[in-house]
Amino acid sequence: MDEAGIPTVSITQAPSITRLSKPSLSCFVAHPFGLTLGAVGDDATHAAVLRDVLEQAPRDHPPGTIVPLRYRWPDDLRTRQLRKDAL
Amino acid sequence: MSTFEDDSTGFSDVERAHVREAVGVKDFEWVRFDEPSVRVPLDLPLSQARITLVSTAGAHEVGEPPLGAGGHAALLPAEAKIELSHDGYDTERALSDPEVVYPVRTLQQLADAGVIGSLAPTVVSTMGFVPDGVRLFARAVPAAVQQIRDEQSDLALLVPA
Repeated sequence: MDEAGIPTVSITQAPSITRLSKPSLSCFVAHPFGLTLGAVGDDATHAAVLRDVLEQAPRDHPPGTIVPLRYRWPDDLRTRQLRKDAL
Repeated sequence: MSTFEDDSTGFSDVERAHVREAVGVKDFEWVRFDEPSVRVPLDLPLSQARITLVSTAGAHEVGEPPLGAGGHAALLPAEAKIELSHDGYDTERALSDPEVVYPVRTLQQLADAGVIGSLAPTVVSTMGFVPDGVRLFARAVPAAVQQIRDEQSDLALLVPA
């Protein structure tokens, strides 16, 4: 899409994979898989994540930048997912 | 390359082994590039930008068949009622609040608040799990590019599940 001239910004939950595919600009959100923007019903966090991601799009980042965002998860679901011990 | 605390270090190997052994795609490999994609910065204020949601959550319209892992894209009206079909995450949990992976309502609220210009009327939907990643480039990406151009969208926002 970038090569077609379309600006893109993506969310990544796994920078170790993103470093292989190297999209032009991504933002690291350390939420569990399947809860990308936050917990079920947490509308405020969903909106905050999207704002933080979208605000990166006009900024002057070099190609391949992964921007770490401030989001963390309160329990061990993500940790278990990263070990393939939880869906 | 950015440096920061990354708890996913090593996950690419874990997931690769899972896809090969548990899912059964014996020859699975990640698509790798030596150089990053070119960067096209958004050249107008976010408050004026039309944004296309590109989702890899496996969303499809209610009553339509799942997308499957062939790298196809579905072009969904933003107001469409959706189902989520994807073996890689808990779709039942996400369906109780699709905004967690498919944030059309939240993006519309950001548009209503003037944070973004507008949400493009069509969502580009595909599956995050496509073992032959080259198919995504051959099938989903051209469809996405055409749709984004047709709707004169300014930015593609890629949201995984």
